[in-house]
Amino acid sequence: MKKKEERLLHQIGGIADRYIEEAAPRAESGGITRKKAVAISALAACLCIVSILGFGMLRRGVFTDPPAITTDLPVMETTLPPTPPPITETTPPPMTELPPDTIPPAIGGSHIGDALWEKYIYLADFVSTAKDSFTVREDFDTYMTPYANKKDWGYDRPCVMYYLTQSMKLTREDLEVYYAAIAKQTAKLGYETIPEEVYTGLLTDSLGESMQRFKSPYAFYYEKKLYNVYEVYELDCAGELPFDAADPAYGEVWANILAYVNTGESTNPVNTLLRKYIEAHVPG
Amino acid sequence: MDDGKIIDLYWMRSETAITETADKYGRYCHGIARGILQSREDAEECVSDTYMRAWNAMPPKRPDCLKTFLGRITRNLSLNRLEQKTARKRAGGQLPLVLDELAECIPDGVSAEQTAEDAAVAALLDRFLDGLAPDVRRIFVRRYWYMHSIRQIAKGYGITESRVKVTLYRTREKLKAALAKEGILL
Repeated sequence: MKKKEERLLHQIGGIADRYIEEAAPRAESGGITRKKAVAISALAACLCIVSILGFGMLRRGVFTDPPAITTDLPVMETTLPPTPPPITETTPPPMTELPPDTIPPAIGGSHIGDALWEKYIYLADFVSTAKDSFTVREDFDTYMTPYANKKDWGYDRPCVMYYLTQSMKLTREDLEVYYAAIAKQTAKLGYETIPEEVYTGLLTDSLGESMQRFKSPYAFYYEKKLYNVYEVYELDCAGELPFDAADPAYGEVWANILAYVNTGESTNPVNTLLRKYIEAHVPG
Repeated sequence: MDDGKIIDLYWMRSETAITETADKYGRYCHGIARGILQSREDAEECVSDTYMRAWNAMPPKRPDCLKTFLGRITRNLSLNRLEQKTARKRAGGQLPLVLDELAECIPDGVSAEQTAEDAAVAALLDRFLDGLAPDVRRIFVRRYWYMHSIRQIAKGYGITESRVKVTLYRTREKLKAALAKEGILL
């Protein structure tokens, strides 16, 4: 017997487009703080590990017991196309709309999901438990748990795969085994083969080099730290920016940011002052 | 890229359709999937599946609104995935809370065997939503379509969580009355 409330939930799924569109998440909140972003990042990593290891999903520290859905949901079709096109892009899509608190929206910066590690986010800043790989070693949790639980990462947070590679002293062979084990997922994301730069960025003993290899085109790198444009703006306004935002070395970053802002796809507000600040830094 | 052009790409069987869709609506779909599944990895797979479903559906379909077309697929796939993957004990997220709240909307004394056409209910829901104030309607849809948490909604609209709860409670009461009045037996 179908549960009545489940049925109502599915019926609500059939409401008119205009209401769905009207309530669609848009830019609603201000810039996210680094602390919060890092906490979300750590939580996401923790969730991944916990869920894949079979301990269930953690939701605010509480294990819940939701009802199973027994209704046949009105999905469109069940057969897949014979040769669905691959997702050929090598970066995750620039996400245009997300609810707040889900993945922080921003243009470049210290969070997962948008820009900071955008270049290889799924390869470098995400870890899955993979059969026969380092992730199932007995000491894996010893290394992973402190990283996932650390709430006060600063601008110098290393991406999780770099952290694990260095702390667990992983070799290239370890990484190859790991990526081979998750090849199905990575192929879906457009990585039929793992770019050599990923190995280079993970195996280097220089955090700075790793950051520069993996940082998004919208992020500012300075002395083993990464900043997004909101952070740069806030720090600059407060006179606390540790580098010169007008340094020509950042010209390309500013140009990238402005181009992204002009697409109108940023979910984070770009007010007039910030826009002017950005425009003032774009070369030429 | 304009939605019409993206749909044209699907009809022309151009692989660019997928990348354009991902560029424009990847984040939107990801937000829906993640809100339901509470897992980044699962959400990513769900969104990938959404693109495949869209590829399979167009042609013959030519959706009026590509965004909500994709959103519906993502929502359905996410709910299906939650059913398949987690079962009761392992699921997190808003689903159990949302279902508990919706149970309040079910008129008393009706039997689950007494079925009603989903389309008729959807039409009633549309009329019901149409009669709500826009702010209230958005909160309701955020909660029960997008399955956002109370906290997310409160933050999104800059109001207190208490206000969201009260608004939802009153709206559920109204919905319950509307369903009963129309003789909708769920």
